[in-house]
Amino acid sequence: MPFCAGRCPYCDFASTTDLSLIPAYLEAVKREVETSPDFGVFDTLYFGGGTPGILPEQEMETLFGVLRSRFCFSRDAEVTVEMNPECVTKRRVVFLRSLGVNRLSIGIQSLNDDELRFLGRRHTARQALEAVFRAHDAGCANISADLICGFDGQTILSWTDTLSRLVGEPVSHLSAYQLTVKEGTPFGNMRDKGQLCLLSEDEEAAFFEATCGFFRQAGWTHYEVSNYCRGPQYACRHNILYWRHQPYLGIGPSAASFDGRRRWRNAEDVSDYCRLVEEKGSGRISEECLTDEQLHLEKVALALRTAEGVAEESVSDTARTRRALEHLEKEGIVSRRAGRIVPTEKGFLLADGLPLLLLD
Amino acid sequence: MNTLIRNFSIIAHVDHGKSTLADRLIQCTGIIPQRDFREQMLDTMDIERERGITIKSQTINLPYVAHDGKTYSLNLIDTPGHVDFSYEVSRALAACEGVLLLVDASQGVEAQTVATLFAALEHNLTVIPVINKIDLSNADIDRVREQIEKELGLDASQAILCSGKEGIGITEVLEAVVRRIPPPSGDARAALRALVFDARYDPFRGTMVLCRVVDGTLAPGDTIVLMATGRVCTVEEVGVLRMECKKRPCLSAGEVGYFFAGLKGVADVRVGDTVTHQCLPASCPLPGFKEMKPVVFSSLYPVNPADYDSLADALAKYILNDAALTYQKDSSAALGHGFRCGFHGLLHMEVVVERLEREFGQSLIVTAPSVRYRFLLAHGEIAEIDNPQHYPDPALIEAAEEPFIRARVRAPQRYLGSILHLCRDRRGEGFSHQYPVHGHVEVTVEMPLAEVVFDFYDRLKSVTQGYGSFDYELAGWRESDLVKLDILVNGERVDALSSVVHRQRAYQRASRLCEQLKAAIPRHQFEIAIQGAVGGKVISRATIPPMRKDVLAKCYGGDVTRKRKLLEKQKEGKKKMKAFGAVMIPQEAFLAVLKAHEE
Repeated sequence: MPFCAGRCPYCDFASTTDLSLIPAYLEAVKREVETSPDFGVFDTLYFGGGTPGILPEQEMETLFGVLRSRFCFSRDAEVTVEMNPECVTKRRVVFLRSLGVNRLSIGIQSLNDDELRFLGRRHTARQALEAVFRAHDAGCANISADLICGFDGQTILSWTDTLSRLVGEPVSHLSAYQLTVKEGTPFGNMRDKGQLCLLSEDEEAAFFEATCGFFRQAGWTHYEVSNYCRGPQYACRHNILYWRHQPYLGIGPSAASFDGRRRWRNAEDVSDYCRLVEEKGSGRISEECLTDEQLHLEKVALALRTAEGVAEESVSDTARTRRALEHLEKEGIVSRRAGRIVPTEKGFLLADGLPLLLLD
Repeated sequence: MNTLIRNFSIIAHVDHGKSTLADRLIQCTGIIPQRDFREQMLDTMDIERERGITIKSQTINLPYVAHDGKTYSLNLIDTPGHVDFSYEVSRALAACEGVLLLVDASQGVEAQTVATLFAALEHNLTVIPVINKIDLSNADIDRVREQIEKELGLDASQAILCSGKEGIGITEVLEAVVRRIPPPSGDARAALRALVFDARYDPFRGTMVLCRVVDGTLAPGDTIVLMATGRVCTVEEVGVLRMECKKRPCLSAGEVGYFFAGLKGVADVRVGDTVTHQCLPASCPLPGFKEMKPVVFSSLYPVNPADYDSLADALAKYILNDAALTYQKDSSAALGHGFRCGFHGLLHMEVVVERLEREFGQSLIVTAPSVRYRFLLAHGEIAEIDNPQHYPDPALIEAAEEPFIRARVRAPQRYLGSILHLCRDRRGEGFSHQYPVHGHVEVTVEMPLAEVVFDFYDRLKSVTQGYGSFDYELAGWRESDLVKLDILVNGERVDALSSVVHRQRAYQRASRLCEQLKAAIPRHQFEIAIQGAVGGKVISRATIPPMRKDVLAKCYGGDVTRKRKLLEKQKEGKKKMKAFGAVMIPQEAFLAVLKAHEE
């Protein structure tokens, strides 16, 4: 869902603020859904974006209708919609629940007004908290919030303050992302001009460690590099599916899909996507078929970002990898439990380098 | 006809425009269609074009219609310009009757020019001074003329003014070659004597031998003998080189060309050898053949041990074109199977490595260079080693010796102080100096070869602002206080980084090596300790701190492909690294040891 009320300066998603494209978009999605390959029974449904929450009720209903008429969902499927605080109204949440939505992911980012301004958000801390109350009042029992940390002007104190205020509220899941400045975004341009001061590696590490420490004390579960939940039952099933290397089907502009062997991706630009779907029935602009080796590399790399870790038999067993594993364990970067290699907090912070240390 | 042949070479300092002038001469004689022309025509190796140096001598035959109306056959023999390749230069010069001495109109006479000029004079060659780059705004022709008179002792009034870049004076150069360089003097009816001055490998036809016929005639069907090796073979084809092979019925006295004779290996063809007929052999070979003795040794290992056979094959082919390289099997606990190679110097070594990588697709790890040392052991045994891995048990060593050289360093007098300082720093002894030419000094000094082979030449160039030149001869063994320096990475000895050093040098060398390795090894997930040790005692240490953070915040469905591609790229990079325990050491780290000598 590529539509947003405004662009945030750190965001590099292919979103648009031109809401007049919505009808064409819906038409294209309908067509793409009709021609999509068969993926069996879906266990999760995720509306991400963009800001799916800004889609008017009528259109949202149409979209659900299109999906349910073509695809089969399990009875207890996890159905998530991403929203921004300003569009979380009681009425909207009740409506979404009536469509089967049972999980909301709210883009809160921070509970500090100065930080929210810096991040170019269009809501205040108070509005963000109120959005959580409203969603909860409207009967949503599974609320997640996205947060950003690690930027100039934020302190570890203000960050843990945001965290502690949120865990006191009826929020069951938090995604805490280190700010990543991407090329071509307003933040990226500011960085290139020297107007945006980036954190050093040590400072970034300090934010990460503070986050881990906070949730450890709060008794939450740290189940992926940037994801925490109040208890294992609140872990995001949809995301876990990515990390367990299971198939998924993406619909809409810039959506990515994986069928267990092949990966493909749709055009990013909404108009390009619509045109492609009209012409060919599919919005794909790239597709690749993976070798067993590539699949294995992905599987290990994704698993090493999660608290599930990777099965010992999945990594190589050479003199070098054995030594590397020994070293990583000694240094407290991974631990070995029940035949699995699991990253520690220190290991999460170094997760990108682990796959190649353990694969030959 | 001998009288219509001219064999010449161009000698010049680097950057004085030798390759450009050669290009113009080639263009002027029109043997290469304009559309096929490219810069530095004779520098066929990529590495030559990139570094702007000539490594291998190239030869080209140019037909030239002179002003007297006759067509001359000009053979231009290009020469390399570095001391590591001095043997190649001397062989190329031996095939000529004259040289063009190229001097840059703005830079003037430089040391390297002087050194090569001495070599040319030793061969009694006619020298034609050519002042190049006269089109430059800062050209100072009068000053250069004066230098040619005073510093080179040549008649500057005969100097030709030209600009290779602008094509000025090219005809004058060609006319001077015809008029001033004497035709070759050999006798076509005498017994065959041809000087081998280069050889190269042709994958389809075997070894192509380049030679200068001094006496007699060489033709297909002849049964010939290579006098130094005794190898007998039958000539299949002869011809001249015009960027490609042009077949000829025969090569007669005075001519320069190539022949194929079913030769496959380098063992049969040695640069400097003399070719003669089996049935009517020459009574003695041409002078000047030298068995080239390598002075620098280093081991080459394939990055991937599985590529050992491929490396063996590449070396066998490579050596055809570079007889200066020697090699034999070697193995290392850390690096597997490889080859111990002998080189003429460090530049030679770098060139060999680079050519093996580029032309033969090899991915190599190069160990620290070494010279050959001699140890007198208990029980009266003597061990000569050029590989630190074979360093004898220290308990058995009664005395150690290292090779010394007697070096002659020449430079303008004003650099005497810097030269003495440099030589003293390199453990030089027995200094003496004299003034052979007004304003120039020649320092004679005895120094350990090990101190010279690494970067002495570069340092000399640097302290004399390019004017210094030197040559040396081996001066026998001298007793020396040697130790073996080991490098440990997280406690594991990396045998390929061990070296034999003078005790005085050990600490300095160890700390420099540790720092170089620290810079060359990327940070890991854990701390890495790099230690230099002599006989189990750690004498220096550098620490690479661990990475603190190496993770992207987000990795969802749409990010997997990018993530995988990044990993695949890193995996490619990993292939160029070697694992020591849990530490991955990149190839560059092994090269860093070469630089550990630099100040």
